Amino acid sequence: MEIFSYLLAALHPWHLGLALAGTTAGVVIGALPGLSATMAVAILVPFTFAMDPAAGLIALGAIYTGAIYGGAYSAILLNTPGTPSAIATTFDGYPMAKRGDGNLAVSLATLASVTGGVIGALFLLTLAPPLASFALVFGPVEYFWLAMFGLTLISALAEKNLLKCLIGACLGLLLSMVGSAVVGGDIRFTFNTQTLLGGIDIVAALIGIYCIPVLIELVAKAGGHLKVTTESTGYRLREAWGQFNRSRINLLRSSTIGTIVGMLPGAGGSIASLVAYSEARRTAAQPEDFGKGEPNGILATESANNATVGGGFIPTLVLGIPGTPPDAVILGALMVQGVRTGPTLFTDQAPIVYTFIFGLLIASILMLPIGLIMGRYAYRAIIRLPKEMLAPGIALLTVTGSFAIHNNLHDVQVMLGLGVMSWLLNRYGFSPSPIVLGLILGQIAEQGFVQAWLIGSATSNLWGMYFGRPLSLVIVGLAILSLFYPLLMAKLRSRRKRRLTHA
Amino acid sequence: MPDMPIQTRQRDWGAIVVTLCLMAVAGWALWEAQRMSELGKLFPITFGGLMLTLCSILLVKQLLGRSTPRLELEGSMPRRALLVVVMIAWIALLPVLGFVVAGLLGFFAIMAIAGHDGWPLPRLLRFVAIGIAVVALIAWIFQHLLHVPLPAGRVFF
Repeated sequence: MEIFSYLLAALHPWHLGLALAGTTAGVVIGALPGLSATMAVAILVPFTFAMDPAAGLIALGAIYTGAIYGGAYSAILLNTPGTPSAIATTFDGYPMAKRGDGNLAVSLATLASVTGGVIGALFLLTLAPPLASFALVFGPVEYFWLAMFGLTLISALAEKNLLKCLIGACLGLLLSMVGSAVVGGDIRFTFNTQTLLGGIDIVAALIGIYCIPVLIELVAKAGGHLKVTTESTGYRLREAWGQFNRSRINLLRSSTIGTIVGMLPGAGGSIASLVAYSEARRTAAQPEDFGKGEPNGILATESANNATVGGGFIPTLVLGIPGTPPDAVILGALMVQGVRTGPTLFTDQAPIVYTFIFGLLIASILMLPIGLIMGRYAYRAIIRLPKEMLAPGIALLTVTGSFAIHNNLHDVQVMLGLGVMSWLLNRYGFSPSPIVLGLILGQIAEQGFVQAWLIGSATSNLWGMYFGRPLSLVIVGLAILSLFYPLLMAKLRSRRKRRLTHA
Repeated sequence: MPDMPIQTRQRDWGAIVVTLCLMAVAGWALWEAQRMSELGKLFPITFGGLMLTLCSILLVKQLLGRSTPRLELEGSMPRRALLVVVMIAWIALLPVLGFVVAGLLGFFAIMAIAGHDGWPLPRLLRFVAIGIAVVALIAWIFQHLLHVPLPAGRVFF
């Protein structure tokens, strides 16, 4: 019964107020391209130092979960992921908004984010200690294969352009190598300039690659940015709820993927949402609809990325190893508060931990009203704004957002350069998503690949290192399945069609 | 740019040039990798080599006229080019004029480029007023609320 006292503590008006304010602030910051969840947490962390540990943790958890969700707004309405976690949300969110279903997409994203957040928090509440030890089973080679698994999403995005998508992914991987090497410290592809020494920042790249092409096309043509339909004014919640109910398995699977990937240090929401998207597409009855405004795509990505919040807290609290970058900031805040993380945290400081977990649950649920209200206004604003205001407004946010990452102009220059390159390549059939995938997964893949190579060489078991571990083989199997499944299904469908025609 | 119509072509020289450029990037990566340490060059060689191979296959397909056609653009090309020029100028002027002045100039320039419906005086004045308010608000939010030290500029503050 002790657990209910923690629930009641989380429901204290002060904690509820913090959860509400934190979620709202997180949503606003997350929706602005360039301001990531890490930044949202980092900016607001000093405000929690004066609070008691449970209250401070609730505020930070709410900011974090709100920011992850907020990234969906700009992904859906502007084709620019507000946070890296929302990359895959652009695949179907923006096409939905383009055809006049932006409000439905926002409602779906809200429902999915709440589900993901709640499931992630429930995992944290019930299974934290055993799941944390599972995260430790992942070695370098598993990280490498996990990144490769993420890259197999290319086949889902490829349609008839697999070759160009693979080239795009290679280009993204090469871009991820710019700067100092993750293992060895070589300075690579910098043209001997200081500008590129720190590498290409993912957030700046995201803003450029996704936002600049939209901006270029926005000014070129007269007419509205998004299609406006007659039912554009409401939340379309009933429609969203119907879709939500039909996709329960997708939501459950994606949230579980999000929690598990969130637990892996360094993996984060972007990989979780990509893997969940890939799985949702693979198991869909009509996978060819993905990438063209398929609601299940949004449900998969948004539930997965919000589930990483709860998942990421599992190794953070149980092992003291941050699962995601915002968790690292929160871990620092915990240390300032005098809370010692570790396996005994759940027994020694149970009131703090359980009050926080219930607070996280409450913050996830609060995302529903907050998200729907804010999403509706964001959608209305975007469809009603004339292009003469929207285009310079987006341009201003791209410049300010990319500058704010490291407070330097290099990121702004990189953002614009990559944006123009992305527009040009897109014109010749190289879609931006494989480039972004390569860029995001590159460092994780390289670190895992090189570390595994080192260990394999040292133990004279290189082949066994990459293909001899059971967990690696499971991930390799999933990656192969994910890569060839769309092609296989397309072949089977065309064969079936031919048979029917002959009959 | 998803709703642009597809143009059918046999051999697209523009696309061939783009592929050659990508091949050059991959080739350069391989060349640079020679100067790296054993660990540092593992990944560049693997994926630079893969990219070069894939680009070669694409080039052959393009020369045979079997590649997917490029997307044909709708709308004004000069406006697109102007936008890129304005963005470059905006970024170049940021450290000189400061965030607010460069931001206002960039904002109004892009507003003019995006305008397809003409500028009657009341509309122009309204939009200019809104533009000033938006730039000031963004500057205030980032500078004071989020503590981002925006570029001050050498000419203006």
